[in-house]
Amino acid sequence: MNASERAPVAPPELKIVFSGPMGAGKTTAIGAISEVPPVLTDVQNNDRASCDKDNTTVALDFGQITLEDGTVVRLYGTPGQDRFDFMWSILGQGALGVVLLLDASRADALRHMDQYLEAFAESARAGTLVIGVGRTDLPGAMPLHEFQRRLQAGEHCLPLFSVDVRRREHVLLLIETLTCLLEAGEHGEGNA
Amino acid sequence: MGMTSRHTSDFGHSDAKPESAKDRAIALSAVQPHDSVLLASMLELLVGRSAGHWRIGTLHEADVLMFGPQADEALLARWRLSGKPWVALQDPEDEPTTASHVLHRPLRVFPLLALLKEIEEEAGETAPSPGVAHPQPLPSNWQLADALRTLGMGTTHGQWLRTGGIYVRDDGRQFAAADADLARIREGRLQDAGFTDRVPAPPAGLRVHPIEELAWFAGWWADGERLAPWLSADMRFRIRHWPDLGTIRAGRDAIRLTAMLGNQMWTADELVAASGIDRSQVVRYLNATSVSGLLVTRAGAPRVQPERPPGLIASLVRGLRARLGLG
Repeated sequence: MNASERAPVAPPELKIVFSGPMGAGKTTAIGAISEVPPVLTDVQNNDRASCDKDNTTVALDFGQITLEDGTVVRLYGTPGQDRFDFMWSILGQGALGVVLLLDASRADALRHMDQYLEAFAESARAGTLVIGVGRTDLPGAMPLHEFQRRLQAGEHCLPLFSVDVRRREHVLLLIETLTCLLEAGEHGEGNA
Repeated sequence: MGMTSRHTSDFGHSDAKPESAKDRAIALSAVQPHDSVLLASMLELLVGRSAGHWRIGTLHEADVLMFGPQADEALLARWRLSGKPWVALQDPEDEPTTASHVLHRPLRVFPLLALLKEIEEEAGETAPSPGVAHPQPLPSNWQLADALRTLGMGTTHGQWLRTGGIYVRDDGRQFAAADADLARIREGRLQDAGFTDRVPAPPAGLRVHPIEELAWFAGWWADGERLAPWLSADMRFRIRHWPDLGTIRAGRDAIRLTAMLGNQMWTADELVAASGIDRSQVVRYLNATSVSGLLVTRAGAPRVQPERPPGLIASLVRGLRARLGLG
């Protein structure tokens, strides 16, 4: 069989994972950039103590972006509840990058950051993880520099921005940053 | 240890004000903690044995900077501009330094006393002594930026410093401005007049912002051709942490440069060559990150990065940008 008779090679499946605690905006962020309406697996939230919202994701959210050459970039949103934490690292395996969304108005926001950085340690080490912190403008919200301080204590040099994922340009900022991190990874030789 | 941050505090700290004209302060940078303790004890022992009353102090008030081998190059370059003595604290086998004075470890009282007397004598001379740089005035376009990066190093009183319609807390953490002034800051239309007066609080109605936003734009607009006076072309740069680009709303060039500088150390020329970004944008970016306290610097000869052919990631990145309208 010569080359022209070979079966066409399927384009590689590539994925970006959106993660973070319940109510941080993962579903909204995926919806802002997905070319198809996100496939949601939401049910009524029965954990009002953790987060006061009507619905929450119990399996995963799914969206996708098809590039001109046919490459499909899949967007996965992890379930936010702690009891699904086993899924976080599974979804993170082989991911192009991770967008971690946090909620600054929650008292346990820093603990959440630690928890997710541990779950996505591979991406954090590779420098392909970007963090968006929402609700920084609410009274009593954790200031952004506290997140930054925690990152530095863990010797992470990762992008950390205040964002409102209801605004598409903020979601695009996170994705744009991820693409720059991927590009820089091609230049890089690791931290000097 | 890097020392460009306003909030970095490995200087010995004392809020005590000099009690007499002979009081003199030594600021410490990247000096080992046990050496700091030893030095403070020795200075107490030497009270009355030299013309001055020497103590450990903050950078803001210091007459002398004493630094270890890991001191930040940008800080040293800035200190040199002041024309004040700068003392390298090093082991006898260490490489020679260009510092105005050297003090060898292990620290001993008599060499320290001799050094202090030498510095006192130099201070009494009318002509600058050999090895001590002539003070150079800071270019006027750098006044605000330089003031911002050094705020918080000295004693703070919880007051606000005014420049035009903008008020900056003297601990260097926040500023207050009207929306119109904020727009002027962002567009580089702010008159750089330095700080003119000090008030207990900004006028009511002004919104308070984190200082990073003002520091970024003060550095960004100060000069698009030359690096800040305390930076130099042969320095290597890395980012201590990412700026909040959500607030600054910087474009893709800034994101790309930050991603590169988060990964490894680069000179300005290497950044221009590897990124393809216009030199003036790279210069502005480095100036902005330096004033914001985000830039870590090291002296070193340029290292050329090997060209790499674009791979799967490069193609993917192009595709993603095109698809999301980020081109």
